[in-house]
Amino acid sequence: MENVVVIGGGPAGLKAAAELRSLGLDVALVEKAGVLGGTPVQEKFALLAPELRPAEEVVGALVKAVQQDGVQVHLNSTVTAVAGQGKDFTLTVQNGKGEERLQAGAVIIATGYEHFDPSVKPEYGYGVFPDVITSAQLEGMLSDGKVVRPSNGQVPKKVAILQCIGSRDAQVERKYCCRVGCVVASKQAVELRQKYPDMQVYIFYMDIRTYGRGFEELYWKAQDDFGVRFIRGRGAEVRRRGDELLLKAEETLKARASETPFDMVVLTVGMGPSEGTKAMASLFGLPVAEDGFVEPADRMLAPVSTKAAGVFVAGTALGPKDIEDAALEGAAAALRAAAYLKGGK
Amino acid sequence: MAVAQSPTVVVDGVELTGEWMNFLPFRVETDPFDDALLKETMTLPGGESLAKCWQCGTCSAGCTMNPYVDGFNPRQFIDLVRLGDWEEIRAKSDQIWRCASCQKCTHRCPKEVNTADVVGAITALLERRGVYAKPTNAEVFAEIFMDQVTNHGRIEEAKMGQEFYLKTGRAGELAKRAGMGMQMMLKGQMKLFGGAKVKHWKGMQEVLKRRRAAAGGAH
Repeated sequence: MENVVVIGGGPAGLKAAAELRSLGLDVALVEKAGVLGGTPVQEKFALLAPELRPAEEVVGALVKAVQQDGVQVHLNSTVTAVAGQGKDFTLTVQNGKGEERLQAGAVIIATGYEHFDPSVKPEYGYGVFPDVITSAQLEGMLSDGKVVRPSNGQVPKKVAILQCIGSRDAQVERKYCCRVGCVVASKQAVELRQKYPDMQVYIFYMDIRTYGRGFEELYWKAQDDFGVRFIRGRGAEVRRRGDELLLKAEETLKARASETPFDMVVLTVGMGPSEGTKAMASLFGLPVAEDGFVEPADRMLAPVSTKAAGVFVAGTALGPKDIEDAALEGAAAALRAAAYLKGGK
Repeated sequence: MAVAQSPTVVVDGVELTGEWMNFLPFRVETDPFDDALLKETMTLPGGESLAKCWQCGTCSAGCTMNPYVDGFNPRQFIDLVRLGDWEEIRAKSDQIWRCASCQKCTHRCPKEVNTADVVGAITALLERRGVYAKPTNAEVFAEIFMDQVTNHGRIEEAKMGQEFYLKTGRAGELAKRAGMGMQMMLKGQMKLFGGAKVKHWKGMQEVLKRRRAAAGGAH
C-alpha cells in the first residue's frame, strides 16, 4: 500500500507531505487545529530569524505546496487509535463530525512542541503582572503591528527580555537548550528597535548560543546596528512598583545584583514536547528520552526513523529546532518512508 | 516593597495571595541601566564603536598597561560606560588616563571595536566633566619647577623640596631629608629664605616673553 499518513501540519509535516507527493505517493495529512502551518501560524510568528523574512511567506509556501499537490488534508482531526503494523496501519481519526479510518503503509509523526508555561515559575510574575509577557505573545504583537503594555495600552519605553525561561533549568526538569531563543530574542529586539527607535531593549542572558547559519550575524546586527543591550546575567525575579516592573538581575561582569525598573518584561520561553507528541509517542509505543521528546532509532545514523517499523518522526517532536531544520527533517522522513514502502528498510 | 496585592497565583494547587514574593528582604542596588552615558560617549571622537563590545576580555588580557597599572581594564571601562555607572568611572579615572595608546587591543578585538579610541573617548568624557587623573610625581615636579622659573627666574631648592614633597603627599619623606637640607644650608648651597628674583630680572622677563610668544602664548 503506497500511501502515507502525516500527523501534524506544521513545517515538518507540510514539507514531508509535499515531498511524498513529489515521489508519487498518496498522502493524508491530519492536523489537530483548524488551519495548516503549525505553531508559526497559530502563534502568529512575525519575521523569521535570521533572514527577517515574513513567516507568512515561508510557511505560506509550505502550505500552498501541500494544497496544490493533492494532499488529502484532515483539519480539526486527531489520531486516537492505531491498529496493524508497518505497511498496513489502520488509524482511527476523530474530528468534529465523528470518526473515520485511514489506511497507511507508513506514518510520519510531526506533532511538534509547545512553549513553556512560565507561570510554573512564579518569581517572574507571569500571569500576575499584565506587563510580563512571553516571547510568543510579543511575536503576536509584532505581527499585529503594535507592541503595547497590556496594563495600559501604551508603547513601553524600556523592555527587558529574559532568556532561558523554562530552558536549561533543572528546577523545572528542563536541562536542555531551546536552541532558538537567542536568535529569536535578537530578532525581536531588532524588530522593536526598528519600529520604536526610542525604545531601550535589554536582553538578559547566560550564554548567547547562535549555532545556525546567519544566527551569529543577526546577533551582531542587534548589538552593532540596533543598539540592543546584552546584559550577562539571568533574571531572578520581577516585582511591581506602582506603574513599573522591577527586575532583579545580576550584571555578572560587575558582580552586583541590581533591581532595575522596566515597562515590560518579555520571557523567552523554552520548548517542550506538545500534548500531541506525547500522545503519539504513547499510541505508537515510541520511546521518549529524558527531555520528553521522541527518541529516534539512532540520533546520528537514523535520526528520523523509530524502533517501530514504518513509523517515522520529524521536526520538533524530536526536540527543539528552528523551522529550517524542521522542514529539512520533514523531507528526510518523507524519503525514509518512501524507501520503506518501496521495499527497502 | 508592596507588590501584587490583589492578584492571586496558584502554584501546585496552592493559592498564594498578597505580597507573595517578599518573604525575604533582599539587599539590592537600584541600577537604572541608564543609557545616557553610553550615548554621550559614542558621540565623542573614537567612541563610535563602543556599543559593539561583547565583553570577551581579549583587550584587557593582552593590554600593555594592565600588568603595570592596577585596575587598568579596557573591557571594564566599556562595561561601566554602558551601565551608566558614572561613580565607578570617576573612581577609576586615575587608571583610565594611563592608556599607552599601543593599539594592541584594537588590532585584536574580534568584534571590530576600536578599543584604544574608545578608551580615548572615555578619557574625553572625564575631561569634559573636569575629572583628571592624579598627576605623577614627575608632573608635579615639572609644574613647581616651571612656576619658580617663570616667577623668579631661578630655582630655590628649599622651596622646591618642600612643595614637591607636600604636594605629592609625602611630608614624612620631607622630614627625613631635613638633615641633608641643613647640611646644604650650612655649606651655603641652599638658602632657607630665598624668594629673590635673579639679578637680571628684566632680561629674564624678556627671555620669558619671547619664549611665550614662540610657544603661542602658552606659559
